[in-house]
Formats: sequence, structure tokens, C-alpha cells
Amino acid sequence: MKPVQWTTRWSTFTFCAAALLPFSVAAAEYHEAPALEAAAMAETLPPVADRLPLHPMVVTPEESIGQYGGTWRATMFGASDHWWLIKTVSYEPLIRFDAKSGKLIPNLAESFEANDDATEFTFTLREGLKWSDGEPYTADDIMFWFEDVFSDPELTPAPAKWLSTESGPAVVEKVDERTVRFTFQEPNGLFLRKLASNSNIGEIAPIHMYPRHYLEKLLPKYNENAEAEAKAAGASSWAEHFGNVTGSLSRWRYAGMPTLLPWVLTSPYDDRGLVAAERNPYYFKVDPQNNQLPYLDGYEFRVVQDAEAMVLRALAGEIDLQDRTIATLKNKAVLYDNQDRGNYHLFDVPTPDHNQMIVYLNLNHNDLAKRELYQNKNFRIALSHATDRQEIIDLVYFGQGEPWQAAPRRESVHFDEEFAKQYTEYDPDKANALLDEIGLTERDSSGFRLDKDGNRVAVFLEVPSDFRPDWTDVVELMKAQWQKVGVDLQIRPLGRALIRNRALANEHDAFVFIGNGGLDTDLYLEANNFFPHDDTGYRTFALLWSNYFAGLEPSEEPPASVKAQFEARRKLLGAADPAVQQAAMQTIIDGAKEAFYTIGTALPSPGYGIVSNDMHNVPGAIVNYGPIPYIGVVNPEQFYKTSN
Amino acid sequence: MVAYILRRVLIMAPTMVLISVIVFAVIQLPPGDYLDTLVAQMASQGDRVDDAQLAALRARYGLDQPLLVQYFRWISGIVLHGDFGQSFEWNKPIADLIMPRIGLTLAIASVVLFLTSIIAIPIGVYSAVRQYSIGDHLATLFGFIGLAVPNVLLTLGLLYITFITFGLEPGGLFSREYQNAPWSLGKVGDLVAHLWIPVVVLTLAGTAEVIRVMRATMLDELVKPYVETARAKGLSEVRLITRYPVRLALNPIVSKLGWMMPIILSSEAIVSVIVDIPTTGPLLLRALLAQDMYLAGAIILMLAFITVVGTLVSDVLLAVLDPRIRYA
Repeated sequence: MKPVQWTTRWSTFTFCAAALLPFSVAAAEYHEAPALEAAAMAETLPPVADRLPLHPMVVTPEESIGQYGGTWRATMFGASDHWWLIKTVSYEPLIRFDAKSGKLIPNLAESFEANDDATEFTFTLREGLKWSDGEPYTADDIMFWFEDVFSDPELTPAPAKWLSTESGPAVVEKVDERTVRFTFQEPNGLFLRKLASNSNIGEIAPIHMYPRHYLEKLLPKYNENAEAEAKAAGASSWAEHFGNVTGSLSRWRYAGMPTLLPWVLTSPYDDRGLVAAERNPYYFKVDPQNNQLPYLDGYEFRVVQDAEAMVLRALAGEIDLQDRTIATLKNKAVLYDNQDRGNYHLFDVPTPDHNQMIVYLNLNHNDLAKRELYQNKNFRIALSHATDRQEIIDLVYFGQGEPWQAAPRRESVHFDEEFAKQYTEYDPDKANALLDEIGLTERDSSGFRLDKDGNRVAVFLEVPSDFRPDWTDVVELMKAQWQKVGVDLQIRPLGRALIRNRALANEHDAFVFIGNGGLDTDLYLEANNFFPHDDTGYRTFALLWSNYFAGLEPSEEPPASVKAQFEARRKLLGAADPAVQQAAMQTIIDGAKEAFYTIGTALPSPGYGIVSNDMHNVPGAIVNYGPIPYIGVVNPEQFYKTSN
Repeated sequence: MVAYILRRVLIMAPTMVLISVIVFAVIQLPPGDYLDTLVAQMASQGDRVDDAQLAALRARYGLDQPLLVQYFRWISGIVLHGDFGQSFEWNKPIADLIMPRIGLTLAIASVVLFLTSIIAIPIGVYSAVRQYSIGDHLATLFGFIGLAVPNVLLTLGLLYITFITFGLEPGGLFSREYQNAPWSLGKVGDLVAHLWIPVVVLTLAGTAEVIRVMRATMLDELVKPYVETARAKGLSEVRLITRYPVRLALNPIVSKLGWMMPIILSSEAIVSVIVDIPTTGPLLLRALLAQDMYLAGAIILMLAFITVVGTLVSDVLLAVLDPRIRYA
């Protein structure tokens, strides 16, 4: 296998890390938390050097070497806020994103490489890695996931898309005790990126979260009483029980499963309202002075049912680090004013989104007259000019942000000022002229334009009623703005799930959603705002073309310009070389600029979070990359506290 | 009397069946199911579930079956095995979720009911006897404020005041140190310190109505000839009022008891959500939002059962209080 240039870069990195290690091993005086030291002295725990792998991962602290102790306090919202856990304390994949360089670096795997055409990926695990109960973590654990979970049709009815290519799912083989190889029949250029993000979650947990020795007994293959034990636990079958214990969300409802994370769950996320964890004595990372991480003893996240209760807790100094749910624009003033009282300060949470809200007209509308109208670029340009974005920004977003189309952010390598700003100036005269030019000159008694069949030109815009309250305000403003150019905007508030189902059945007229994919990290994973292929159902603005790309029915052959984008996407997926991927992505972006599929509103300003003045090593800004656990990326194991 | 009670009990059975059908139908009304909610949550986090996976999950949960089949599965589990099923969202048997909460819920509701009665009934009597006095006006004012201010606002106001003046830890059933600790005197004290807000809010909200009803019926009774007669016979004023008009005026209050419980329980939900008390209210709200339908169904069914039992109790009490009803 000949590693391509970019993998060589990774290899060089690992090589350097490994080269440094002999010094640290020679110095090999590892230090540990006082409680663990006492346990090791009492011989209830092996000594720290035996608990760490041969080459622990060295994490450079954000500012300073920390001190042991303290608990990370935060709050979670209601019953389904697993995402807070997933995005903070649960990021220990085989390979990870490095927040500083934006590159993929080793984590559980000591090294990894890909072949030229992105079909074979080999990972070598660190030697001597251990689960939190002291059992070794080896290639067998990954093989357990592959053979007994991933390949079992009952546990995995359909292989996840990121682990499959056209001819079928990946094949995983064990090379030796520490090495596994993933083989795909076609190129899977995004495999490494997906492995390092949490867009790989679905209902199936990440592949490194299956401790063989613990989970074997849940399967009938290894335990003939598995079914009876599952029923005794309240599940209807062993498969359901296994799904509950290991599922990416439901796993948090149980304590007791060995883990590789910095902290081991002691009080699970159930209806008792406190999610707590304590340090993992076998955690595989150290700081540059050979202190075993994590610094913090554990975390305590209280589950509250009301967002206002979170604010009160913050003001009472009960939150050490949090942005999720609490850090809304509405709360910013009160949180800002009470920084002294609550002993915290604010930090920036830049968003990777390029748009607060995008309007998607259905380009493959079921009604052929409407399809023709919506496919007319000048109609979309007219609506764009009819939208007063500054008014929206001033009234809804407290003046924060700037008019922006569905185009990459400034920080992206694909940023294009012209694309971002095209047709964003508010110009009702131009809009009217364009609409007249299209032939929508007749008007009804209320002043709305009529199409050639004499029907009022109306856009039925589906807006999620259960997601972003600000959108309701935005579309109300838009309704008044579009009325001035004679277009009737009819607002349809519906549940998100229903909007999705209608979009996937091609029953919709138009809808709105988030503009994700503004930064390169998430742009490559989901480019569905820039070309008409989407299988999430949230950005499906041309279902028939999307199906054409995916080989599904019903479909329709798209115009040549769209096909060129599809071609570029295939190229991107088939390449392992980042330079080739980037060139292909540029073709997609240029195509999106020319086609002007969707109508953007405003570039979102950075979000924020609150962090206690006693909590250290937290970066001043943490970018919230959609599919990547953003707080996990900045290494929570090196956070430390100077009081309690 | 026995026949009367028996008749009432027998009517309960078909009522519950009817309620179970309605409950199930209403929970199914919103479009989509729990899995749609799950997919929506995943998508908002940049994540996704494959459609084939979804179909498999749907089959596992029985969500692909016709409604009628789903209903009979559900109700037969409850009736035959006392099994309320699994909560989709919590991955836990529903009984395990509800049982610890139902006690607390009933405790709060009972305390509120008790406090409402001992505060509102004497005040109602007083304002009738001393109609248009300063006391009457004050009681009316106080009652109406409780009635008119939304519970949400009252709760937030009280939370804010305790936070500003006492610096107390806001919300929750227990402070951090008692959260997972075993029961002790300190823990009980901590519990009471956290429970007073919902109790005060709910009591305030309920008193006005009882005061007004009590006052109105008392005013009707006070002018009746039998009061005049009793007074003429030389009965002391206190004895006269408590023996005769009050007894009669209690009638509407007692018949209200049965449905005061559900009113308290449903207004309790919103207060508990705000002050973060683990009663059935927040659980129900969440279950409805997530379309966790068996959980929502079980809670509503249980609340309905409490209402039906409450009605029975108030019927019996009425019969005890007023012989005319027993033979009606």
C-alpha cells in the first residue's frame, strides 16, 4: 500500500510523536490524581505506569498545566439532551480532529493510513490501551463490533451509509492484535472525516464503544440465557436489550459499561435528574509533564425541565461551562450583566453555519406550472431582491450579522464574496421589473400578481413550529416584504418531522431550514446546500434530481449544469487526496453560485457560552462544528478548576 | 347507601374503557410518531438515521401495525398483566418511571387541596357573614389576585424573589448534596424548602374560586327563614352559622372536590416544569412532545383514574352529608 501525500503527513506527525516518547518513557515518572495514588498504594489499583498504554497520548494544555480535583457542573434540558454529553465528554474516536490545525490526528489509533484510491484504511491501536475496568482494548474489540454487531442483520438491519459504498458495506479484518484494516469495494473519500466526527452516529454507536468482554454476555451466540436476561431487564428481546445498552443515545441511560472516555458514568441520564461521572483510572492521555489526565474528578450535569431554570443556576454560579440551550440571544443581556455575581465570563462559540435561515423553493414541484416558475432563476432573483435582509437582521437578530446568500463563510477556502453577496441588496423596483419581465404582469384586486392561468402567485412556505422560534418572526417580515412586489407568501407552521416527510414525498411547495456547511469541516461532510442532492429530508429542494444522483425513483434527468455538480461530488467521494477533494468541491460551489438554487438571509454572528472564572484551559473561542463534538475537540480532559 | 355506592362503582368501569379509547386516539392525533421525533432531533444535530434502520425500529416498537392492533396490545398488557409497556424515549418500563413520581404528585395535590380548604372555607364564611366589610374586600382582592395572575408568572416571581433575597439555589427537588443521598432529617428539610413554591402557587390559584362559591351560597342561605328562626330561638351566632348554613353551603364545595384534583394536577404540571420538581406533570409534557405515546397514555390514564375515584369519593361524601342525595 502506497500512502498518498496527505497520509504521509499524518504518518510524519505520528512518527514525531513517537520519537519524542522515548524521552518521556525514560523519564517515566507518571503522576496521577491523589485518590488514584492512594488506591494504587493500597494495591486496590495497579500502579499508574501499568494503567497507561506504552505510549500515552500527550495533550498540550490550552494555557497551563492543571491541578487535580473539581467537578464540572452544567445543566441539561429535558429528556433528550444527549447531545450535550455526546458533544462534550464523549469524543474519543480512533482518530480525531485537531481544533488548531483542522486536520485529522491519531487518538486511540497510534497511526493510520489510506491507500491512493481511498478503498483501504489501516489503523494501528496504541499498545496497552485499557478499558475503564482494566481489561485490554485490542483489535478484538473492533472485530466484535464488526462481526457480531455490524454484520448481524438483527442488530444492524441496514449498514450505515458512511460505512458502505455502492456494492456493499465495508469489510474489516484483523491484521494483528493492534491492527485492523477497513476495505471498501469503491472509493470512500470521506471515510476518515466521518470516522472522526459524530455524523457517524445514527442509532448505532461509534465503533470504538463496544467492549467485547462486557457485551458478549448479552448475545445468544455467547450466552444461552441472553434472551431470558433481556426479558428480565424489561426488554422484549435480546436484540432490543442490546440496542438499548449500546445505542448511541440510549447507552447514556445505563451505568456500568466500561469505557475509554476520560470519565466513567456513575449516575446515568435517567429520570432521576442528575448525570454524573468520575475519573477513569485507565484513561490513556497525559500532559507534557506526565500527569495522567483528566484533571477534573468528574462532572455533574443536572437535568432541568425549563430553560429559565438554567439561567437562574448560571446566575447562582452553579454552572462551570455550558453553552447549549442556555446561550440564546434573548438570554445574552442577563447573562452578560450578571457575570460578577455568578463568577463566570462569556466565551465565543462561532458557528459554522453560513445562514440563519434559507428559503428553499421546490425546484421539482409536482405542479408543472409551479415547477417552471420556481426553476426560473429570475423569479428566485426577484424574490431575493424583494427581501429586506437588513430589516430582518435589525428586528429579529438584534442587529447582529450581515446579509448573506447560501454561500461559504469568510473563513472557508471556498469563500467567494460575489457569491455571498449576489442579489442581496433590497431593491423592490428591480424585483418588480424582473417579475414583469417573466410575464407576471396581471394583478388581482388585492394587488397580487397572477400567473398565466390567472392564479395568484403564492408561495406556501412550510416553517417548523418546533425548532427555531426566530424563524417565525423572519417569515412574518418576509411576508410583508414580498407583498410589496405582489407575491403572496403563505406561512404554513408545521412540525419538523412532517415537513421532512412531505419533502421526501415531494408534496411541498417551499420550506425553510438552517444554512449548514459554511466552514470546510462540515461542508465536506454535508454539501447538500450547494447541489441538489439530499437524503436528510431537510434540504430536499429538488427530490427528483436528488433521486437521479442516488439511483432512486421517482427521478428525473437534471440539466447539464446539475449533472456537472454530481460528477464533481462523485469525484470528491472517490478521492483520498485533499487537493483533489478541494478542486471538486470548488466545482460544486461555483455551480451553486451560477444556479442560485436557494434564497439565503443573514450570516449568523458567533454564539457564546459561559465559563466559570475558576475553570481554566478553556479556549476563548470554541467553534461549534455541526457534526463534530465541538467541546470534545478542545480536550475537556485538560480543563481544571481552582476551587471546589 | 350500599346500593348507591355499588352503582357508582359499576359505572366507573365503562367510563375507564371509554377514557382509554379516547386517550389512545388523542395521543395518536398529531402526525408522525416517536421515530419521526427522533429523526428530527438527530437531524438538528447534523446527524441522521438511515431509512432501513428506521423501518426496523418501527417494526420493533410495533409502530407499523394498524391503530386498532396497537390499542389492543397496549390495553391488554395493562389489564391482563398490569404492564404499561416500555417508554421509547427512556428505554425503561413505564411503571418504573411513573411510580416514584405519582406519590410526590399526589402528595403535593393533597397538601394543596387541604390548604385550599382550610384557608378558603373560613374566609368564604367570613366574607358572607361580614359582607362588604374591609375583611370581605381584602379577602376578595387577595383571592382574585391568586386567580388572575397566571401560575407561570407567580412561580417565576417567587423564584426570582427567593433568589434575590435569600440567594437560595433555584429549582430542583433537592440541593446538590442531598440529590443522591439516603433519606435523613436534613433531606426532608431540604425537600420542604424546595416544595413550598409549588404549594403556595397552586393554593393561591385555587382559593379564589372556593371563597367565591362559599360566599355566594352562604349569602343565599343566610337570608332564609330557618336562620331567622334559629336566631329567634336564641342560638349563639357562631353555633347557628356552623350548624346550619355552613353545612348546606358546603354541598357545592364537596361536589367540586372530585374535579378539583385534576385541575390541581394539570396546573401542577406547568409549575413543576418551572421549579423543576419531578412529578408526573413534566414527564407527561415531555412524553407528549416526543410522541412517547405509551408513556403519555399511561400517565393520562392514571390521572383519569384519579379523577374518576375522586368523583366517587365526592359522591359518597355528598351522600353522607345530604340524605336527599342518597335516594335520588
